[in-house]
Amino acid sequence: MLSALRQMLDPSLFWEYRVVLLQGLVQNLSIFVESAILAMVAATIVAVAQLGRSRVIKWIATGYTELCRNTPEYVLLVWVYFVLPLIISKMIGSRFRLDPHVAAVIGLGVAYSGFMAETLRAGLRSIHPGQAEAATAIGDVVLQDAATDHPAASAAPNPARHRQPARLAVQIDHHRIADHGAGHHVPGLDDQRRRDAADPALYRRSGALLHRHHRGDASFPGADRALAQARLVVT
Amino acid sequence: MLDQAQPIIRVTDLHKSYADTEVLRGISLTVAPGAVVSVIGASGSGKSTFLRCLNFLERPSSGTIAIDGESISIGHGPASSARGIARLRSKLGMVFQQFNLWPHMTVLGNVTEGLTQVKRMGRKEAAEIGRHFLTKVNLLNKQDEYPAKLSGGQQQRVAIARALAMQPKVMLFDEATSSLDPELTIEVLEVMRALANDGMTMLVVTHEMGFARDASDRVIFLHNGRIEEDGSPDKVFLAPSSERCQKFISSALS
Repeated sequence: MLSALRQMLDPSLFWEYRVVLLQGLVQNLSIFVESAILAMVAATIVAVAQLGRSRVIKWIATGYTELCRNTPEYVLLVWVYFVLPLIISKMIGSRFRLDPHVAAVIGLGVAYSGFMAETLRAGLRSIHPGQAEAATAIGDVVLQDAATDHPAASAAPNPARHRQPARLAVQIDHHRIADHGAGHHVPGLDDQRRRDAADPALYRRSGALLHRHHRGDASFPGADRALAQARLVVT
Repeated sequence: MLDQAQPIIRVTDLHKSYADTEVLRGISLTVAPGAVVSVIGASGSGKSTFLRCLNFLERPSSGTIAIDGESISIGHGPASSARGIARLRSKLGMVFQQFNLWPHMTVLGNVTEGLTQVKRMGRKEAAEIGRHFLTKVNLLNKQDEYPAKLSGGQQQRVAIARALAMQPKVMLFDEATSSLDPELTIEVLEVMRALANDGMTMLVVTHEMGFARDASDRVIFLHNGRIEEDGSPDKVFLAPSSERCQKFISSALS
């Protein structure tokens, strides 16, 4: 037992198999990089789809993320490597095989795209509406859909403007910290507002008011002031 | 003086309703270049909505908005394009009640973001312009701070610099001092006055009657989504023709 352990930790063994081990490392890293790229692309598309207007597309996107997040990676890999080729073979009527490397990239890429999509979605959602409006007002097109009720806003994709990850990373962290923390801390809000945010009844009232506003029936004397306050509470 | 005759803002019959509530009921307005126009009125009179409709943060239900020759009509004719709206927005700078700075960016980062991302300017050039406008609002020494470290008044001045950096033709102020303590209000109003003296065209939704009276060329009183009174500060404050305006002003000044 002890000798087996000693043999296992024998550095000369590593040296002896250095070429194979290095090849493994390179393989590992290349799968990591390729699947990360795939995951990022898929996650961006799915996250945007989840935030879009079409209900059907939203459902499909949500189903995709749930499936990816709740299926163990190993099961996904088995499906991609063994089951997917079977289905494709049936469909095209001839034998089809997937290269193991490609299968690994697809399997892991799909698995992680679910997690990443959810992170991106949460990050975009956690951007304060006022900050999105400020971005819209200076001409940024990425966040304007979040800020306006204008249908043309969604029709202006600008791939060159996808610098959001930098902003998101912070927003996501912020979101997480906010989730873990007791109150709904938003930097820049003063103590009073933070205390307000910790008051569940006020929070509910504010939420209800904003909901009414979105439905379009929050108009009464002083509505814009009340709404502004409600927006501060529900952040 | 031909240019003076050509209005920089021309709004025609602007309507906005949410479901069956009409917030704006036909607002028409022309503003000459360099004019400082204060928009006053009770809460719910549609002041903020009017301002937000001008740069399409709210989509108007119908009407025509023309800013510096860029015109968009809603309700008739072809649908407004995203490009048209973007061009319109490029002529407008907006300052919000809640500052809305991006908390994860430094002061300079906030000011240069639009230049680098929307105008595609190089970082160096953008930083130079950003510093120029931070000097204007007297905050160059805070360029590397984050917004959370600044006072409300300082944050609002950064927000003004951010809007100015895009070199808009018209500045819109949406209750820019309403969430500030009185002593912080002063520093923001000073910046706004300086801007007015520089000849910037400004549309200022405000509860600051002092600013409306002393710093603006024209005061508009909105009531129930309509312009109820429109004239020089002296006329609106001292001899308003509408009774409601009279009441509003006497209660606001008391």
